[in-house]
Amino acid sequence: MSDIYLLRVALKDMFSLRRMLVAMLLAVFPAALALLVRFAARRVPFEAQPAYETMMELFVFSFLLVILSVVFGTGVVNQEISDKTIVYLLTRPIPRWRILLMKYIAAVIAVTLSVWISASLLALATYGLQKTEVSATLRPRDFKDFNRFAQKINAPEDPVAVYIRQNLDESLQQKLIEHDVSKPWSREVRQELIASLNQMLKTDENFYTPERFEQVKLSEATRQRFAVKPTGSALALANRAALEDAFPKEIVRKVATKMRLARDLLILPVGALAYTALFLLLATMFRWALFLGLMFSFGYESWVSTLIPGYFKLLSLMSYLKVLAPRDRLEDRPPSPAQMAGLLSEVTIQPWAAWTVLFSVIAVALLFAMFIFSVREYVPRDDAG
Amino acid sequence: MIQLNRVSRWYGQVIGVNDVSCLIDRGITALLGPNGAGKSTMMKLITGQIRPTTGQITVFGERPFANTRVFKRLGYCPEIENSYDDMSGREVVTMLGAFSGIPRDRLKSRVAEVIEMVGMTANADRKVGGYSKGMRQRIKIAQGIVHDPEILILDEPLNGLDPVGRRDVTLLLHELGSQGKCVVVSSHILYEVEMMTRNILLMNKGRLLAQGDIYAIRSLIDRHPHRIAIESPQARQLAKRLLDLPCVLSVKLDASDSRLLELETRQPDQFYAQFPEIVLEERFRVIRFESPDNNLESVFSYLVNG
Repeated sequence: MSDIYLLRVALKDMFSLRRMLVAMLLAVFPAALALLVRFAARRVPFEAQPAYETMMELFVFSFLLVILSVVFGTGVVNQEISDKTIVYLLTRPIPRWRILLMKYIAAVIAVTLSVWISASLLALATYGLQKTEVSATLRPRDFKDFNRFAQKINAPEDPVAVYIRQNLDESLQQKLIEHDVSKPWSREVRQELIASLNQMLKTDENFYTPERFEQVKLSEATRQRFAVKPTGSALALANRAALEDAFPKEIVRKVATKMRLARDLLILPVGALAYTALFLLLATMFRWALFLGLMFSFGYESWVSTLIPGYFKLLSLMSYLKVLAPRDRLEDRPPSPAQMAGLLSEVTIQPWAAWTVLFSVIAVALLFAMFIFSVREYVPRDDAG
Repeated sequence: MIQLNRVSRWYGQVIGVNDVSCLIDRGITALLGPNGAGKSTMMKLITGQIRPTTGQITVFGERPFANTRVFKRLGYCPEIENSYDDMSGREVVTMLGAFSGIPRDRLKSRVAEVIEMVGMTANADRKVGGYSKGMRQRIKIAQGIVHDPEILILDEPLNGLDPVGRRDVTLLLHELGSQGKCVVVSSHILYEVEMMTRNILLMNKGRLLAQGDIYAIRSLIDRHPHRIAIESPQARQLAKRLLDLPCVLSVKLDASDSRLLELETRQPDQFYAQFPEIVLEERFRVIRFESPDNNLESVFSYLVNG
């Protein structure tokens, strides 16, 4: 009875209007930014996956999750201490550790809901309410740069290009060879090439072979499509995905993408549990825990986990979260400085190690916080009378 | 029910309670002392919010710090004004009552009962944030008694109350005391305490100066001369007249200001009764009349130094 009440009151406290307003404003931000990019730059084809992955990593994981954990995790204790209402709780027949545990659960719920909302909105803003399967058929607007694509088809050494070229009509092959590079492609040739490509993608069971695509970095989505031998419309989609991967700068990725929302929604609460436990511990020890938490998360966590290469990343929670929610490194964009550092660093963390470390941090921080909260005095000194 | 054995509590370099030993039993006990005497510290020690630096404190035979067995049978009304401002008075009492382990089926009726006891039924559903100081005080008392504790600790419960509120709360405490509960009330106003109980603990600067019947302590205070300063254009004549009174010990004229005189008395009550008559009779003009002893603090310094 008192536990449920405790949780309810703690939740009510967490979801106070002012706190939630700030949390929601922050939560809406990545989606709003993605929408802005999507509709402001209409001439450049918008690619959902990189937008989603980048915003997810930089904003939702590294910023929103951490800052909300700081605010809610330290607020649990510090708010009541500064309001002095903690006195009413600490003189009740409820073990102190249970008061703290319920407040922790409430804080984790608040953080999780906020980041879930943010992630879902971001997914909606980037991927949109599209049908589950897009059409396999290539259209002219699916090309970012048709001229470059046509040139690449002509390239002698690329095995994918060679294979495509060989499967075209003689006359079309001739037209490709004879084309004056300084001039744009005629509408007819363009349509003919796209039609031939579509025909090939739709029926060719030998379009993708591991040898032919050895030089191509296949996206996870594409690999999955070829994991079971595809036939019919699945074959067409798989072939198109492989084509998108082979020409990432020329063709918009539509099929070779995978929305990671479900995975992210699963990992975000793990992050919320870990960070909130850590900041709860800070709050039981220091009065200026909010400040310390902000220093830790934005002075230490974000820089150590991303910029300093080497073993330092073993000391940052975010590194472990990133192992559990890895981002596709799609080759069509230059890697960010963070990614470069990630590539440079020689330490790789195995997923089982990440799970172990994160849950150890949660358990140790939470137990330690409950212990400290049980033995420390939370009476302000200044009203000693 | 409450036992302190050579209890001291330091806040860093500052001492809050200094070597206090005492026993508090059923009935109302008042903790009397000026501000900063250590009353609140003592109450925090009893209510298990802080631990003594040295010495031992037991409540129901147990150490009270973070002790849920003690808290089940103990109610506390803190001095702080802060409360859960965005909840209504009824919600606050219900929540804290639930935390005290009142079963769900009895909670609602019990909350209504204590809210009625503190006279807050009409305002119980308004937000605490909009309450007057007196209303907050009443709700604070309600949350302290909601679980019907055997020990009730109230830190300055009459603070902020109007005369009617003072009377109501005093009556309520009398009632609880006569039910055999152990009620501890702190105050820095002797007159307030006199209305509530005869049993007092007198504190100053962290020390327990005296414990016992209020009249015994009163007479202890009365044995020390009480000073009164008077300003009058006819100071000399007035002094002469006052010296005739048997209750006046001495009268001194101020050397620098001929209009000021200071007298000492061992029976202030008697003096206060006679003084107005003399003034009226002789038509003295009195510009200022004050007793530097009227606050407890100087009475205490008498006790400590005398």
